[in-house]
Amino acid sequence: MKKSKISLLLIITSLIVVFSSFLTLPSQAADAASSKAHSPIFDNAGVLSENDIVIITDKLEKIRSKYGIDVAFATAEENISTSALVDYADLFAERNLAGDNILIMANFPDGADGSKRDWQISTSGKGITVLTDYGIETIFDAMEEAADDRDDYLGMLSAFAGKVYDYIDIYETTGEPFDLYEDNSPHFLRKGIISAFIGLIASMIGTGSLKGQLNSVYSQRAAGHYTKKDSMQVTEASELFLFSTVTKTRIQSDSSSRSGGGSSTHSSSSGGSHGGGGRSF
Amino acid sequence: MATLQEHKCPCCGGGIGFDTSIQKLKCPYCDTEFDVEQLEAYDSVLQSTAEEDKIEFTTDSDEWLDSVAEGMKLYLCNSCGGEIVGDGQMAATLCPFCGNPVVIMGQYKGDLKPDYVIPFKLDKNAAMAAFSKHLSGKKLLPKPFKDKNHLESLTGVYVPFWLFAATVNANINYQATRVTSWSDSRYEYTQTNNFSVHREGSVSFEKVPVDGSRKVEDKLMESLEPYDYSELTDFRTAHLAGYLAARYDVDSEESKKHATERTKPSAEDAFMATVDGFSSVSTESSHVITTEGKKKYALLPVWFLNTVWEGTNYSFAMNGQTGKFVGNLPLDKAALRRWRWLLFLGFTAGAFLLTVLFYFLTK
Repeated sequence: MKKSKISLLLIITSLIVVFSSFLTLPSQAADAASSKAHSPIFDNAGVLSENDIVIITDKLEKIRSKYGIDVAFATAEENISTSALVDYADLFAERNLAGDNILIMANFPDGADGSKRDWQISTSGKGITVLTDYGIETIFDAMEEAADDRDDYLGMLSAFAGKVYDYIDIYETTGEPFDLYEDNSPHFLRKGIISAFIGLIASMIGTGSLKGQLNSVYSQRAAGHYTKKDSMQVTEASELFLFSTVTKTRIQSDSSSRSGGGSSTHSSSSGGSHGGGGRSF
Repeated sequence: MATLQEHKCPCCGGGIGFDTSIQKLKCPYCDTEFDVEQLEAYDSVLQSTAEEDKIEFTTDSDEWLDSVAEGMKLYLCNSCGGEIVGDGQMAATLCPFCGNPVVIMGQYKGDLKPDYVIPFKLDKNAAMAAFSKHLSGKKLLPKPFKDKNHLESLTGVYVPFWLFAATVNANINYQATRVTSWSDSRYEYTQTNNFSVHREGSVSFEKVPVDGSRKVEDKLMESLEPYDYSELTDFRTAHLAGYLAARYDVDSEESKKHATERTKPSAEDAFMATVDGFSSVSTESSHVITTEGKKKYALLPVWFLNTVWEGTNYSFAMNGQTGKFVGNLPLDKAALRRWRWLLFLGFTAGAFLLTVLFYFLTK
């Protein structure tokens, strides 16, 4: 009897310890921590439709099966601030995904119906190498371009999956990640050809100008010089608005023009090393 | 019947010509100066009192009659009796025997009488200087052409011009856009508002010149424009003394088409200028009706120089009022090739050195 009481106490104690260790972690961590073939969708906020889930799951699982990198989408729980999102996403990935992973997390600091959407990409292991800082920026760019509106999750996540697939494929094919490389070679031949082209154009313009000095006989197209002073009378004038168009062009961000490249890393609160980046749109 | 009008100096009886520097008639023998009106009054007195001395245009031989049939005419000089042969359009010339300036009066009677004339303001020396300036600084002009003396054929001619007046009624539609740009932290936005703009109205033109001589190249004359019409004066034969002159052989009906063609784009330009406040404007449709106004016949002063170079005739002209000198010049093909290579190599080397320098400075 005493032995069974001790056993029961140990079990209860163990359970308390186990549960207490999950108190500070995202809620879904407990559900899938040990799952190897987990779904790549952790839609806690329920922003995806069933059809969306089918389509996105298919895209992300293809990447995992082909390249062995765990790529997933998750929505953060409520009340996660923008500043806390980086660590939250890192810890989520540590608990829910395999070692080589790429997680994209959507956060709604004002609630799911609010106007603000934070997006955070967290990478670990091989994911850090594959997605450089520049690559992450271009992924966010592609997502923004693809979105019809801020709630077009299917469009944005399809763009995300497509870019991630492409960048992993580039890495696997070339051994180098997709990045902004600074070309330091002098390329004298290219400079020479460009210079010769400039010389050719300048020579044509220069000799054209010299030849033009020889010609001074031209027909007069118009008779503006002979307009009678104050003779012009506008009897009818109207301006009718027809239609309007708006175009938008992305402003080149600093990351696009920097000369460095590579993937910057940081440590999560648990000590794990992660790459990634975030943007709100 | 054509007659020769030779203006005689009332002081010494010498042939007298128009002097551009003083804008009067001046006797080259005794240096006496006369106003145009003064001399005309003197000439009319002479004509009324010495009617029997008037020498009329004569065609007194069968041989010359054949020439007339071919468009040539024979005139007798009042001073020396020399025979002057000219074409049907010649209106003023110099007697080749005594050098006296003569005006053929019959050319400017009735409908042929010009309404206006702009007297020569620039003399032969000014034309020679302008020609030398015209040749200077031209890198591709053959040097032998530059060194050759072309000035022997420099001739001052009063060229007949039709001056047309016209009113253009225009009905024009434009497509216009107004572009507004702004940006946020991530995007630059461009809004383009599209408009349909309509203008209707009229604009008038006066004294649009079209040369009335077939012998003179139209393009050459148009290159001399514009003349300063504030110096147009009523036509008097005395202005022609000392210069060649021709009467028109292209009538106003034939000439007015070109004047009309020139007024249309100017009217369109004038109305286009009223469409402002837009980022871009383009003409969608244009309907223009030109109403012809009064036409005038004027003689305008031109210095001509014709020369032949390597079998090709080159014509030059100077506006005898403003001094504007025009005329296409021959091309030195060898010099052109030299300059082509020189510029090509120079700019190529310069561009290459700059790019290499930039590479090493920014490395």
